[in-house]
Formats: sequence, structure tokens, C-alpha cells
Amino acid sequence: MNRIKASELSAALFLILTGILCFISGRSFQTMHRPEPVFPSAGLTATHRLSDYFPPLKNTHGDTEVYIFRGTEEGGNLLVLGGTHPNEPAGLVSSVLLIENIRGKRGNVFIVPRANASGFTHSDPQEGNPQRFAVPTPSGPRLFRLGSRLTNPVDQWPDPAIYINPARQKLSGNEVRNLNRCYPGRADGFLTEKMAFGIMELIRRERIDIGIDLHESAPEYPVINAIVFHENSSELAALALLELQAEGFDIRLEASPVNLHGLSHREWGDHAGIKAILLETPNASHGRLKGKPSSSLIVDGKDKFYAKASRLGWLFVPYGEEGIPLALRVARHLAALKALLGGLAELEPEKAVEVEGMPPPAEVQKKGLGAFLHPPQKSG
Amino acid sequence: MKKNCDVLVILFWFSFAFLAMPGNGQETVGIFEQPMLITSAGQNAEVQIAAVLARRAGLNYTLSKQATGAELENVKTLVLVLGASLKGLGAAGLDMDKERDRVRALITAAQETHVPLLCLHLGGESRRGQQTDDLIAEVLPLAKMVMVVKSGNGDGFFTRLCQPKNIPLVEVEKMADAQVPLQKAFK
Amino acid sequence: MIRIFYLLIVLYLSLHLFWHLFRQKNPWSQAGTALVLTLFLLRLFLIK
Repeated sequence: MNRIKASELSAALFLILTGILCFISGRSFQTMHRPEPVFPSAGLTATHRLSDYFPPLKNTHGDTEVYIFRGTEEGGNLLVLGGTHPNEPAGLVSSVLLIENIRGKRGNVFIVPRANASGFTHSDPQEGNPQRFAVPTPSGPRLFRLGSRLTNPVDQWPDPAIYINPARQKLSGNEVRNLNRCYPGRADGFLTEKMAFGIMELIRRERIDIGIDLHESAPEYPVINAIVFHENSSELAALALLELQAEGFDIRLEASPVNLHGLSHREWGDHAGIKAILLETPNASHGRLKGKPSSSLIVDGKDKFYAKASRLGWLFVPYGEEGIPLALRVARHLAALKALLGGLAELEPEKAVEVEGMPPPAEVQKKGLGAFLHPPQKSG
Repeated sequence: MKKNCDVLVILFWFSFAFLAMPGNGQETVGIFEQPMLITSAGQNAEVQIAAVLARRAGLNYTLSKQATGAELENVKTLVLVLGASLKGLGAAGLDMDKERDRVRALITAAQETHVPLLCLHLGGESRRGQQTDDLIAEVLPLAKMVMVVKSGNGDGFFTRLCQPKNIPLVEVEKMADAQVPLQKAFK
Repeated sequence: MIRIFYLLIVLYLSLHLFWHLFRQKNPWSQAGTALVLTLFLLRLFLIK
């Protein structure tokens, strides 16, 4: 191999190359700041921002949309939170599906599809995750961002060595950027604590009666296919479980531990007195046993390593070769939401919430998510 | 010919009636009185479901997750929902030994005041395991009737405990199916 | 405040790499330096 002599010219060429690399990757990184479009149904009555409830969030990456569907009849107020953890896609997609289909009938529905908006602007380092996943619709794929469990360090940095959250729970340092450890929030705290405070303000100002936080967990995690409930919602959760089992969804009840603080299902109930429920579905894409992360792993949920782990009895849910697709996970969230609303109507009829046009879970499973999603925006 | 058909039809319907009864023909209808006290043995979450089933069945009940003998006053039936949940125990600030002592004391108090015991196991296969099984083995022989979700008795564990004592054992497919036999078990 | 310190550190290291790039005698070392410099520049400009 003949040696090429390095010169100032080659250094300049490499410098130009550096510039090009910076431009391409920087632009790709910046696109994560562009929220995926949501096309609300005709039933939408208002769109607020979290900063309308808590102004210090204005012009920060912690601000996010609140979609409001007011019913024509008196009833309760429901809050649905998706995207608390942006690496758990069923939460975002279930919320978007609701926003694009429902009309309020009784009571009011508040939907926050991207609760941790900052978490959507980056992905978990060293995971090799795709930036987006594609949900097929009849007129082409709809792209959604796959973010990180935590707030973007660009927005909140550095992490403390040990984090003592607003509810005085001692946690590891990086939990300071985990929205679901920061409740009930701090008005003058870190950005994530401000987001949590904003959500608490929304709950207080809109007199929310029941809050549902949509999550996903890895199939090897014990709290899965579960309804996690605050003790003030135990009867509601039990009613919902019976309803879900009757519909063929296997689900378990998990009481919210009274001494684990900072989580939605604990602090919403303790501090705002609302019925607080958290739902979990199984998602292979953020588990530790998965193969190559990809858009199809998220959407189709097929993974041979999880199938093997399931055969070996290592998992808390059955995981076959056919996988657990996003459509099924979203259907589970919708079915649980429906069952919870049914239970609420039975227990406290004056606080009942009824919506029309909610995609039937069985249909979502059968026809796929695309049948209920707005066609993608034509890229310009 | 017509008569034969009628007999067959009657036999056909009777066969259903027999299917609904436990195998050895023990009584499972109207054997308990209200009001009842529902508590768990092992701090499981299914105790809440038992309460919902009782409410839907229109039964008079009190739910007390950590019931003691003192709460048995004016109670005609004690309902124990079996199954140890480490998370539930932890949340209640208990350990398995303390919980076992509480359940033992409660059953002793119930026996002294002649309050019959109805045992439910609703959690299915996933609510089994050594700790739960030890507790069940201790409590079950004292029950007047046992109701289980089928998958929990897949290995015949409940059948083996009930048969020698001639305790009626009712199996149901799903938790929700327990409502009807529960309703029927009470006067 | 801590962010300014952080940015100053990144800026110092970036300049160091820049200087290094022009002093290299081996083109492969130049390529390696350029790649490391890319990461530092991204840090410098994309953290507000």
C-alpha cells in the first residue's frame, strides 16, 4: 500500500467532510423536534397547551397539547395521558386514535398524547432504536416518533447523583428526568418536575375525576398486562377487570404500593384525590431480550428471542412466534379504557363519561390501526 | 316415539342440572347466611374482585383487608380469598408470618362463634406458589365450601384437599363466572 | 452557569482537535480526528 502524505489541503478536505457530517446528523437530530401531526376528529371542542394551566412551561420543550372533547350532557371529567414514556408507543398511538375518532357525549375528555414532549425529541442512547416507526394505513404509512423514557438532557441537565423527588422519595439520579417519578411536581423545580406540576394543575383546574396513564412494559417485567390502581379506585379496577376478562383480555390487578412515591397512580390519588389508574401492555421493543430494534419490531411485535424466552418460562406474558403487535396493545388500552368508563358509570353515575366513535377494540385488532387513523399528510 | 323424545329432552336438561353440581353431589346452594365478612389470606388483589362479585350478586357484605376476630360480630359467614401476594403484603406492611398469624386467629375466632368459612381462590394458576399453597393447605380443610377458578386447580391441588373432608368444591372458568354460584350459596 | 462551563470545555477540546487535524502527518489520523471533531461540534452547536 503506497503511503499518501497528509497535508494542509487534506486537513481542509477532512474539515469540509466534518461539516457535511455535522449538517446531516444535526438536521436528522433536529427533525425529532417536529411533532408528528395529529388530525383531531370533528368532535374536538378545544385545544389547550399545558402552559395554559402552568405558564412557566411556555416556550419550553416541556409544553405540550391538551385535546379537549366536551360532551353535551353533564358528567365527569376524564384525563387520558399518553407518552409519559415516549419509548412506550402504545400510549401515544392509543391517544392519537382517540383524538382522531371520538366525540364527547357525556362529561368531558382531556387527552394529552405526548405528556413528556421533551422525551420525544431524542432516543435512548446506545439502544440503536429507530427514530420513528411506521403504522400502515390504506393511504400510506403514518410515522410516529419513538422517543426516550426520559426528558432530553438538552432540556434538563445535569442529573443529580441521587434524586429526592417532590414526594420525598429517594431515587437514582436519572429518575429526575422520568415524568412518572416527578409527581406531584414542583412549580420551581427541574423541567420534568414542572411538567408534572403542569399536569397536576390541569387535574385541579379542570376538576378531573379519573386519570388514566397509558404505559407499556417489557415482557420480562412483572407488572404487565395490568391495571395498576390507587386504593381509591380499587372497586373500579375490579369491575374493569371482570369486564375485560369477559371480553377475552387476560389482565391482572396491581395495587399501587402506598410507599412508592412520585408515580401518577400514587400522587394523582394522594394529592388531587382523583381516581388514578395506570395501564401496562407488553412491548418487546424496550425489553432487554429483544433482537434488532426496528420499526417492525414495534408495530408487528415479532421477536424470535422473546418467543424463545416465553418457551423457557422467563416471561410474565405468553409471547408466541406471532408476536404482540401494536394493534393488539392499543386494542387492550382501548378495551381497558372502555371497561373503566363502564365501571365508573356503574359506581358513580353522576360522574359517568360517555364518548361516541371510540374505535371498538375487536375491530382495531381485526382491521388494524390504519383503519382508524387519518391518512398521512402529503409530504411537501 | 313422541314420549321417548320427551324423556330424552327431560334427561338432557337434567344432565345440565347435574353438571352444575359438584361431582359428589354435596350441597352448594343456600348453605351460608348473610351478612358476610370478606377478607384475604395473603393480601392479594382478588379480594377486591370478590367484593365486586358479592355486590353484583346483591349480597350483604363488608370488605376488610386485614380483618380481625373483633370484626366477626354480627357476621354470619367468613369469606377468605386465598392467595399470597408479596406486593400486597409489602404494601400492607406485613410479612407472610404475620399474615398467617392473623388468618389463624381469625379462623379460630370464627370457629368459636360458629361462623362458617367460605374459601375462594380467584387468581388462577398465577396465584399459586409455595407460600400460597402452604396457606391453602392449612386453611382449606376448615372450609364449608370452596370455589376456585379452574386454572388454579389444574394440578388437582384443591380437589386433593377437599375430597377427604367431603368439602364441596365449585370450579368456575373465569372470575366473573363465580358470581352466580356465590349468589346461590347464600340464603 | 454550569452549561456555560460545559460549553467552554467542549469549545476548548474542539479547538484542540482542530489544531491537531492540521498537524497530523498521516491521513488516517486526520480522518480519525475529523470523526471525533464531528461529535464535539454536534455537542457544541446542538446543546442550546
